Amino acid sequence: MRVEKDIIVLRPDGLHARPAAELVKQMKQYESNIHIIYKDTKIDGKSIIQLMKLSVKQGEMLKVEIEGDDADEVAAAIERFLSSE
Amino acid sequence: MSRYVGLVLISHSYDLAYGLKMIASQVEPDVPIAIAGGTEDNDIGTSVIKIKEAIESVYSDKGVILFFDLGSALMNAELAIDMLGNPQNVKIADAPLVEGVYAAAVESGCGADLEEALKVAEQTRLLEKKI
Repeated sequence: MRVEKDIIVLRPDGLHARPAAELVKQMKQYESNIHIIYKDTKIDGKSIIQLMKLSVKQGEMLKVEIEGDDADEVAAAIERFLSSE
Repeated sequence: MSRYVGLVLISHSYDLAYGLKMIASQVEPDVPIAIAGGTEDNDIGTSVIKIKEAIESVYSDKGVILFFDLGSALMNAELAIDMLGNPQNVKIADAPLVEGVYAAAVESGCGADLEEALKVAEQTRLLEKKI
C-alpha cells in the first residue's frame, strides 16, 4: 500500500530537534518505509539524523510518502503528531 | 540489565558537558547519561578519573558510548577504558559532540544496540546542517 499526503504543520513549536526525536520514536514502531519531503529535500522518516535537521515552522507544509502494510496508520499518526496544538 | 545503551559526555568544560546532558536528557530522560567535564578541580581540561567514574555509573551489558569534544580528550578516554580492563562494549564515538550525542540518545531510547547507536552517532559527521 502506498500513501501520499500533504500535511500542514499545525503544532505551535513546529518540527525541530525535540519534536523530531518524538516523531522518529513513533515512526520506528511501524513497518512501512516513510519519507518526508520538505523544500525539495526527501528524508527518511525513521532517521533521527535526517529528521533533526528539519526545521519546519508552524503553518508550513510537508509531503509524506509511505509504503507498506501499515501506511494508513502511519499517515494518521504523522498527521496527528503534526496537527497537535 | 539496562534496557538502554549508556552515554558518557566528555568535554574540556564542565558547563559544556552539563548543558549537553540537559539537552539529551530532555529528549530521552530514561537513557543513562553521565558527564566527565573539566579537570578534577573543574578547570578546563579532562580527567581520566572523572571519565572512568562516568563510564562505571552508566555501564551495563548493553554497553556505553563515549563522546568527546576536542582531540586531546581522546587519550584520556582511551586511558580510562584501559583502566577498566578494556571492556569490549565500551566504545568511543568519532562524531561531533552535540549532534552525535543527540542522535545516540534518541537511538538508545528507541532500544538500539551498541553497534546501531554508535553507527548512527558517527553518521552525524556527514550531516549537513542546512537543507
